[in-house]
Amino acid sequence: MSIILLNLNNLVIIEIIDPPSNIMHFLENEYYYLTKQKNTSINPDVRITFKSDLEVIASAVIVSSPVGYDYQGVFFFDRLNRIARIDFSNFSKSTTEIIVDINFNPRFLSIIIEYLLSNKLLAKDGCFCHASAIKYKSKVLLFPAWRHVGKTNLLLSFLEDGARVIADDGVFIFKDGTILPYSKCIHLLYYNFKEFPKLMDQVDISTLSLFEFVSNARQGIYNIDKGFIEDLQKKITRRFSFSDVSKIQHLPQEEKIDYVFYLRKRNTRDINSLKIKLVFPPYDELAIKATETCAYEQTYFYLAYQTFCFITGTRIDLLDNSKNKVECIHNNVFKNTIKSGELVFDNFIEHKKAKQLIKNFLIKN
Amino acid sequence: MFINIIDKICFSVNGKDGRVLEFIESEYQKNITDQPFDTISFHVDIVEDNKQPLKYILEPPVSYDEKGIFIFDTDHKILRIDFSRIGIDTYHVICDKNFNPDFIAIILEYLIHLSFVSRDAFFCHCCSFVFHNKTILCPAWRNVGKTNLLLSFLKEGAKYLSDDWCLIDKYGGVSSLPKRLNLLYYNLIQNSELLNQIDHNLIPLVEFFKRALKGQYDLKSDQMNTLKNSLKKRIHIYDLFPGQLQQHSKSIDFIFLLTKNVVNPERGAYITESDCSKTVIKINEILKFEQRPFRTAYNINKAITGTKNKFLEKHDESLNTLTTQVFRDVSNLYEVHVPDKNSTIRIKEEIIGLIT
Repeated sequence: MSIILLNLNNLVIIEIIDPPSNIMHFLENEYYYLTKQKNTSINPDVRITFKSDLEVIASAVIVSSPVGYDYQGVFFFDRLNRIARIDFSNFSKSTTEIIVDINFNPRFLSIIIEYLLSNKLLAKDGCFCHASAIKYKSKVLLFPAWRHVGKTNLLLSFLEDGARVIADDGVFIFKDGTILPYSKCIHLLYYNFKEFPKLMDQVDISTLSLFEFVSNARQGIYNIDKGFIEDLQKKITRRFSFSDVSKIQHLPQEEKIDYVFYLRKRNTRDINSLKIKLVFPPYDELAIKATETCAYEQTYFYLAYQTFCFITGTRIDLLDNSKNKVECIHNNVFKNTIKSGELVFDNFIEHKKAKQLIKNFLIKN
Repeated sequence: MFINIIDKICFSVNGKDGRVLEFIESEYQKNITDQPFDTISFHVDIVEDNKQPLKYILEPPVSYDEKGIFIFDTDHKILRIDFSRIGIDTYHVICDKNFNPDFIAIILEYLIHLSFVSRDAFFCHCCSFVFHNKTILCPAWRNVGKTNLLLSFLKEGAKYLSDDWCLIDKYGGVSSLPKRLNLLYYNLIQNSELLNQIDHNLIPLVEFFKRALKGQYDLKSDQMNTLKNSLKKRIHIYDLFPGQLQQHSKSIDFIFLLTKNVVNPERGAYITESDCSKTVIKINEILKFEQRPFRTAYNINKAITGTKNKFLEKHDESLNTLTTQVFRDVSNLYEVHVPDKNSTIRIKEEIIGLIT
């Protein structure tokens, strides 16, 4: 038996038993904190096991994609209808069992692992924060943001100036103001490659070809329908390890957060103000925004939990109160930094100006 | 114009002609007045508001622009809600004149429910009727078969309380809401003897669709979906079963919560006993699921503005208190395990067996 432990600083332990080779490979590329074990650990917070032929059956109820339930309980399903079962019973008290089809989508499994780490951490005063994070001139900067607001471009821009990457798409934050990365990958999309074309050197020929085609198509060269171009553009997505994008080596460790800059996409309500601005609303407002951003990233997890409540007629206090707890943690973190603010900017191309604004602010403070 | 909901809640409707106004006039035809009954809960302002294409979609059906968060339909028609004032003061709902009527029906129902929650009453997603002098509620997640079950009891002479939503007050009284039955293709097929009263023009379509279902015309799935979408009809209870409307019932005698039987579908429909705690959780989760577009919009509104609405934040707790208070006094709580939508007769017989 092959046992892999994902041990997040002894705060949350996920035991993964006999993962198929493709999933094993994916997890090794994706996570810090992985170790191989000979024996089963005593009480992991989560145990993931694998089975063959776990798929959506005809009598299953599809609640709303990607969540359903059948005679064995709640499950997530991927695009090929392969399933990962989750048992919420005693979620806050004992090991949560996840049973996954051997052909389940590895990326989706890593998202489920993210859900589990975050919600298991709640009991340890920590939670997931949808943010990128860097260390720049010995200061730790956290950039929470709604998806597609431009946090990866800002991070890549800071890397050009010698910043060290801590996390790209999400981190775990703790009430005492510390931060813990968990993934060693960065998720790159079309807009990232467009702004940082050097990254294209590392992609395969088919992605390169697609990128060039989409770039031309977006300029109207081929007179192709916009919706079709957008669909193709969504296919330009690659996960790189941090070592592929930064020469400065990163080691996962607890760090104290010094500054928070919540990134908000500028909308036309801000039209009369400067194009980019750094503002400092009350901490509790920022905490609400960041909490909703994180909650949105876990929509499917809560839909699965809601389904569990419906089919069993039972509830789990920890999960019922999770949003309040997450908000409380964010509030504490934002209050205890040197400064927490909001950076309002427009689309993906203003990352250089955004970076400069932050750098100027750091010099003054 | 003003819409008075059972003389307790009132909202105003003003603005341009279109699908929305037409829908509201049809749905609430007997509840339209020139004067408000009481304080107005909210104003529905019908305007022209659509965007094509949407620039920045957060999570369908929710997005935002310079005016704030909005909900959009499949044709990009827009509806905006002032979340900051709900439950606190009179607020505005601004909606495109051609916003999808089925969608605005759901949103209006939720807003009316919220107005009732502040008056210690709530909506329950169920069909309900009075049969043999017993008030029976059958809550269910969507598409489990509550309308077919209701129709089968109405054919036996039951009195109608609700098809989709009923109103329950904190003393357990059940009220019928002004709302048409929303009959979908499987309701029309299973109750084809009612088609003459519903709309005789549907008869050839139903007959054709029945044959198509058997594969006679070799239609593709998108063609079948087009037919399914054409096969729906909203009709008032007094037009379908005249004299069988009951406006109010003082208490609930039986609750049969319908759930999909995924454990053993071959066994057919069967009934098990339930308890108050489970019933409360399940009914509340059904309500929350039905409210998903609204809840998504409110959550995104919080993410954009960084502010909360105190009334909405307390909603789940208030609802839990109300439902617990009401359902703990109902002594007959059951769960009906439904294998499919064709089990109506069996379920009806099982229910009749229990109540008599």
